[in-house]
Amino acid sequence: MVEQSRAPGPLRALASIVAVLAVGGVALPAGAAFETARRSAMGDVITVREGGGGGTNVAFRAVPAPADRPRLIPLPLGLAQLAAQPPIFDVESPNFSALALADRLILNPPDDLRLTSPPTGEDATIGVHLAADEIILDFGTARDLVPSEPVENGGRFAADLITTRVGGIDFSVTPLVIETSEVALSDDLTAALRETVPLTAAGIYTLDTELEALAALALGVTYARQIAGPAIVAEPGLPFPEPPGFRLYAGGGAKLLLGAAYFANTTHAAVLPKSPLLDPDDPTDVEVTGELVTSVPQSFGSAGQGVSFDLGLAALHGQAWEMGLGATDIAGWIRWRANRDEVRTDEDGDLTTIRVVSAESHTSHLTPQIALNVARHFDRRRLTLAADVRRGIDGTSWHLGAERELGRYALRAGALVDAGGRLQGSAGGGVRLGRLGIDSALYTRSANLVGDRALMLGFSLAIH
Amino acid sequence: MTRALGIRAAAPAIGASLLGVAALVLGGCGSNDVAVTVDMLSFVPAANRSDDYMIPPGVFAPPMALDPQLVTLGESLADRVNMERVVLNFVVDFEGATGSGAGSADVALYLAIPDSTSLSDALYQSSPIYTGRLDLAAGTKRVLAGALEATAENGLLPVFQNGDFALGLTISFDASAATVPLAGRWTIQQIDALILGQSDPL
Repeated sequence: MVEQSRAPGPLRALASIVAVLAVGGVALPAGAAFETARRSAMGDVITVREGGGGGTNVAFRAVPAPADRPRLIPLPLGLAQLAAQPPIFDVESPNFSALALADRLILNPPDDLRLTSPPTGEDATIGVHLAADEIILDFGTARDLVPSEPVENGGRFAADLITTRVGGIDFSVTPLVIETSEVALSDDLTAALRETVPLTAAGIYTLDTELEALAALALGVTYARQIAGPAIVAEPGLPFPEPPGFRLYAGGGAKLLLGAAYFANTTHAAVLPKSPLLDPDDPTDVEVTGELVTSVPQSFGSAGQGVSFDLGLAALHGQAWEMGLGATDIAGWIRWRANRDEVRTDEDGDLTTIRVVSAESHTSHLTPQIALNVARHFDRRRLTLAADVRRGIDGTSWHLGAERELGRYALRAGALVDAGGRLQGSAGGGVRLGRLGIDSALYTRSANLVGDRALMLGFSLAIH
Repeated sequence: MTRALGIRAAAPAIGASLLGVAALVLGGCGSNDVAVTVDMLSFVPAANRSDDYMIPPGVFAPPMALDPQLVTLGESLADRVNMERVVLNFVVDFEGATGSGAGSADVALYLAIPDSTSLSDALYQSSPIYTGRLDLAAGTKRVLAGALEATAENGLLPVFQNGDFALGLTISFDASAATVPLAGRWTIQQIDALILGQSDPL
């Protein structure tokens, strides 16, 4: 009796995630998700007070927490909003919409409350006019969902599952999901879909897509320490003193990557209009050609294997300045045992895949993430101005944030230019009642196909 | 007098294909409302959309029949759109340009699922889905405008849901009571179908 082999649980779960991403061809949220309201209100800017931006700079692991750093707990009220209007997963339902599902769960994770929603096209009326020599498509309000220029999306999700520190060295187990996609329409197809320009036999109607998604478990080892300046000595029961002068921290890490699933696809689809346009004896063909590379290891032994490295520097000057430069996924790669298929339409117009190579060695490369941040504190940290620039899979984003503390109140504002080049704004406030505080943030986010802004409202608790 | 008018078929297979591409572009929209207009008249050569007529007095002219036209909506469109309502519209006008005679014109519209033998037999042996009569007068332009809703009850909705159907039209003139020739010019101004429904989610 032969037992069917199955991937180990964690790998299987990650493989499921990457399959959803790959098939859906959607991007992970470009902006931060499940962030604290403080950070959201400050334009998602990196500050040491909130841990130096998570894993963007390993050197911040060695920086002692500021004396006034509270424990911040995001309140994901978006989950309640999602529960009140649960998405429809039943593909047989007449109200099922893959686009709406991607919008509500992946493009815009249900972290904060959505006060306004960008269009998803699910309510649009599609108009089609068929005539002998032209066809007109009118997508109504969904017309704007058709990108006018090639769209590049990407995302990287990593959250430490297990962390422990032994002898000053951090060990971690981290699920990692990375996805990139690019969609490009020909000018004629864009005009036909966005501007109701008639489709004619002379038009060139093509759609090109590139998708790559992977899931892996990262087994990380990280070490960071202060390399210059006066050391901070903690006294039991007392907050850290913050001595004047310059302090420099450095850190580095290495990750062993166990690949759980890999999917890469390039597709070229072309409508081949003929003249006359509508000929019953010679209908128009849609020709699809492409390549599919997949790997879903069935055991740890056959998992993809790779490495990546992290480096970071952080500098603080008294209570006035903080700066950091960090890079993650440097020189990262994963080698897979992958199948390669050719994708094309056959003579009947059906989409077929033909296995070209089985279990060949295929190496995927990780895109390095780079973050540069600076913050200036005034008036004994009661006024903070911060800025950072981050280069990631989805492009470069710029962040600005300010915070003013007035007794037990705080006012915050920020702005950012996201990876898609769109300007976003934010504002918020906080109030502290004893050891408990609550922060709020009102901000915009453009995590959708065409970049329309959604207005978000977030809250988080602060425990001092 | 029977004469073929030579209307070519409408086969919007490309529409179905492009509709599929469009759906792909939109990333799988849900159950959108869809309105498809099929302009069947656009397939008629301009020279065949209009003609002069001249019926001698006391004559009942046999129908002039259009060549039956196969209209193919395409599998993708038929499968992708849950058709809920289909409305046919057609307009034929008659102009008594010569200014003499009087009589009437009868117009009949045919629509049927084609059988495997003869498109013409299947179509014109079926009952017309619409008939209309116009009294013609000297020097007067008369317009026959018809609108018809295809329903399950009148058997027309299944015709559209089938994806392929045959279309035909006949025009006959009655000058039996006329004392002078019945003359003028007829013109088909419009034959189209508006299909309303919802797109199936991907």
